[in-house]
Amino acid sequence: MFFKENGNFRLIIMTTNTLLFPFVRVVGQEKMKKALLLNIIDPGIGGVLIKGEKGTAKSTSVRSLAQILPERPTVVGCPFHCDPRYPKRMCMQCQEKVNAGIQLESKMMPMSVIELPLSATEDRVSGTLDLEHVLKTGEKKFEPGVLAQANGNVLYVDEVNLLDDHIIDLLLDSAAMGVNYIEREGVSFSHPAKFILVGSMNPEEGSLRPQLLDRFGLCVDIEGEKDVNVRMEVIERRMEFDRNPEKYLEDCGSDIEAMRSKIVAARELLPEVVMDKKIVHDIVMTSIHFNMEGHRADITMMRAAKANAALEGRKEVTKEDLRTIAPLVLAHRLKKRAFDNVTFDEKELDLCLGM
Amino acid sequence: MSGNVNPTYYPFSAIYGMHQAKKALMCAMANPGIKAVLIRGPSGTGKTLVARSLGHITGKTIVNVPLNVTDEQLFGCLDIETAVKEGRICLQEGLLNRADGNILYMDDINLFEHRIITGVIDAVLSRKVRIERENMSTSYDVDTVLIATMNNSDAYLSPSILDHFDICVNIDSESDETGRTEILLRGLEYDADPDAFVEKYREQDQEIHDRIVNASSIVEEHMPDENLRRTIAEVCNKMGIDGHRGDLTATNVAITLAAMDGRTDVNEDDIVEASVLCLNHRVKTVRGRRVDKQQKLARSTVGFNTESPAITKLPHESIKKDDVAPTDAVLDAETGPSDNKDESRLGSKEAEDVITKIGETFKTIDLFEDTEAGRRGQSSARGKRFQQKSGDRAGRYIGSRMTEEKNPDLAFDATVRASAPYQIKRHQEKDTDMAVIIEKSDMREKIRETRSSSTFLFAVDTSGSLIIRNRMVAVKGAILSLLKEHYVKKDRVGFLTFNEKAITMLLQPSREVEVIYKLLDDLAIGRRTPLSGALQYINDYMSMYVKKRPNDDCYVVLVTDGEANVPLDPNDEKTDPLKEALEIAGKINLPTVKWIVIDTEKRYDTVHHSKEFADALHARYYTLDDLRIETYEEINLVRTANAKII
Repeated sequence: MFFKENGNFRLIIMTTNTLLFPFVRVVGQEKMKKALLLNIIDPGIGGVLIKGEKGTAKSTSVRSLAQILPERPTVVGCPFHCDPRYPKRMCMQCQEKVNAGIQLESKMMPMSVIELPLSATEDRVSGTLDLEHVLKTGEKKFEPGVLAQANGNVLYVDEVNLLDDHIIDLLLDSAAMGVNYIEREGVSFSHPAKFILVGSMNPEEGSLRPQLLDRFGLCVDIEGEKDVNVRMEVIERRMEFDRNPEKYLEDCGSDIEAMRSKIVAARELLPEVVMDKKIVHDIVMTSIHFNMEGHRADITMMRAAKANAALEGRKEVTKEDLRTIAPLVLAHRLKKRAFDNVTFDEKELDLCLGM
Repeated sequence: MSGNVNPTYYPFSAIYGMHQAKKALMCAMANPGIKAVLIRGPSGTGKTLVARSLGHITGKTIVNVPLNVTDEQLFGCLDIETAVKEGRICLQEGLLNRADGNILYMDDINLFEHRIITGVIDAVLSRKVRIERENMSTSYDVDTVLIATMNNSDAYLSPSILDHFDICVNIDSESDETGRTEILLRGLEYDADPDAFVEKYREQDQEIHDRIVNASSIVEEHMPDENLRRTIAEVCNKMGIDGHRGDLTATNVAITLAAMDGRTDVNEDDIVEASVLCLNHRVKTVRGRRVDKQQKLARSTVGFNTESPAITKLPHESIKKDDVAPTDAVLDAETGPSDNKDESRLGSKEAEDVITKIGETFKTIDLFEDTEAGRRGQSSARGKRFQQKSGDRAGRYIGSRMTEEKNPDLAFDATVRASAPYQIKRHQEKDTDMAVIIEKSDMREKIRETRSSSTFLFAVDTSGSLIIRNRMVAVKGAILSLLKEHYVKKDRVGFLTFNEKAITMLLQPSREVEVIYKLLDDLAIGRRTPLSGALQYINDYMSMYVKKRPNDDCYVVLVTDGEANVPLDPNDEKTDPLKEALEIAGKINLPTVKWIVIDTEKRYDTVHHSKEFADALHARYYTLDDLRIETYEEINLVRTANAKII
């Protein structure tokens, strides 16, 4: 399963490509889907935390996100999937090549969902230096970890509230800076690690540290469908999928394709989306109204509103965009005193926005 | 059939009773969509037996996950041998590898670490294991069925883990005479001549095997019709099942049950049976009681009620029992406390003359009410509350991590694994006799986990004022209830009494809880209350004790009426003993010790000196009457009322 290549251990994954229930066929859960899509359109939003009771298609949706993720140019052979369009964000090796005037070979590669298992160890998450290589050649060679794989991709942590503290710290550091720094054994190394952090958790299992909570750009609370007809729909789709996954995926192939092109279009449109001063003012007022600490909420609202406009194919951000995304940004940032059960009041938001 | 592995297995069909468990397991074998089955029941009811014999019938091996399993054993780890010899990184198979195509078996699942359970269940359900550990980054497929058991159906397993189990069955030990006799007889017969016994049941076993095979081919083709989907969706909705896993497995199981009888049409019996198997454990529970009104609703939705002949005609009594069991449970829960109430009242009446008799236990205080753990639900209050990462090299080895310490608590296995891939290179560079060359960068230290224990010190006022009011019985009852509720293994309990004659540490904090029962029955009684002295004594004692056992949660339960009437110096007549005691109470500063004051005065009495002490000690405060209130809700009411007063 492994073979040695240039002194580096590479692996060949020995799983069959597991067939996943298609994202486009998940019944309901519109908020969660929207939050995920917005993040793909603008990774700068800062990830999603999905909180919800068990059995509400949290993991299913995130894992199957891979089906609709767009392609992007990557440098061939770079373990960090550097984007050739942005030399400043590249890893050291790619930058050296660029500086030396070497033309980087690039290829369109689909974004993927990298999953961080709960049992992951520190060295595999951050990656380790290939000491053997260092000793032999004096050249720094990095054995990429999960964070390297995650660069430019979606990093998914299921049951994020159960993750070990020191792993969470690692994640937080790189998520905040977009760079993974390895300072160990007297050798320092760093590589870009910009990823869309998606976490899911069941609040019954315990809560998340506030620092980590604030790191997530958006947060959605989801619950199962309570309507009988919707429940029936869920059973039907899932049963049909289980019976013949290949066929089911094939049947909704056109929907998947449509969703992907919608995302691609939105990503292209995003730089052209403009925001009126009035909307900026509204954002600020909303933030003030809900007592937001710091400016992360403001920035996230702005980005998310733009992404939402792009998703709907508009170049102008409207108040409705803001109305749609504000709950996702604000709900988990409300100031809470211990044990207070503060919930986000949508009516208050309407009032505040004058809608 | 793999009879050759262990030719003398106990035949599946020879297992008496347990129809529900058997049926559930057969379903899991017949339908690949059913991946996890939980069997709950007391020990010695044949849970393991039924799982093992199932393996024989289907030709699968049972892979047992031991309780002290580490991540390496479970998921697989670096193969040291190939790494050292060939410098190649290779996966040494873990338990999950071996479970591929077989049956994974976890005994006492509630005792496993949460993280391990989550890992196993996720692997089983997603049919995939992903490893990111110690130089390894790989993933492999695993197709297995998880069978887990739990000894006690009261034991706690978090709802989200429960939800991942498709089917959950409760089994009771056979209680009727014929059943027990039959089980014993079969056991004897088997012991006498295993081969003949197996032969006797071979045909029946084969029949079951055929039924499973047949059912699985039906299931493969079968798609639930709208009617079935609607009924199940309605049942789930009315039962208030969260999420959609319940709906899905109930549908799956209903189809499989029908298929097991060779039918493709799913009838109402199947649905009722399926909802019993799949939905009972998903119903929300409120403090141990099932919310069952919904269950009845559900039954009426399917077109049945409890008296319906459809249920009585179900194959075996056990099913019927279980079907009705939740209702009984509610009845128990409802009648239970009121019984207790009567008894405790009776107790106190009888106690008029028999002072030292122990009162009936009654509802007790929740020590964790206001702690965060308590807030998260009763779950964390029990069992898990004592888990913590340990820094002092004590406790169970649960994993390893890189270390920066000079003198780490070295995890040898992980260290050797970390160094293994470099061995060839290092041996080329260094000339040494060492078999394995380990460098600083390979060092891994152990992560350990301990369950910190608690210490309860009961300080009981045995002055005459208590006896006069005959409150001693109630006091004893309260103490025992508290211990019953909160005592877990390894906890220490101490017992101290005080009266004018002496302040006596009757029992140093120790694990010999049983002694308490005896002590309580035989208390020396005095007349007056030297509260100042007692507080002083406790303070001195506990400050030493805390130093000795820094990781313990200590609780001092002070049971008194607050009538301090003996000052520190008995001959000092000027000092007001009450004032003095309060002053001492205010000065006590033991950060890790939590105080609980139980006031033995009646609630309607006007003077509550104990209350003042509780305030001075920053203690939780209860009156004995509080503790008698039966329903949790009421206790809460009183508590909030108390909180307001405080």
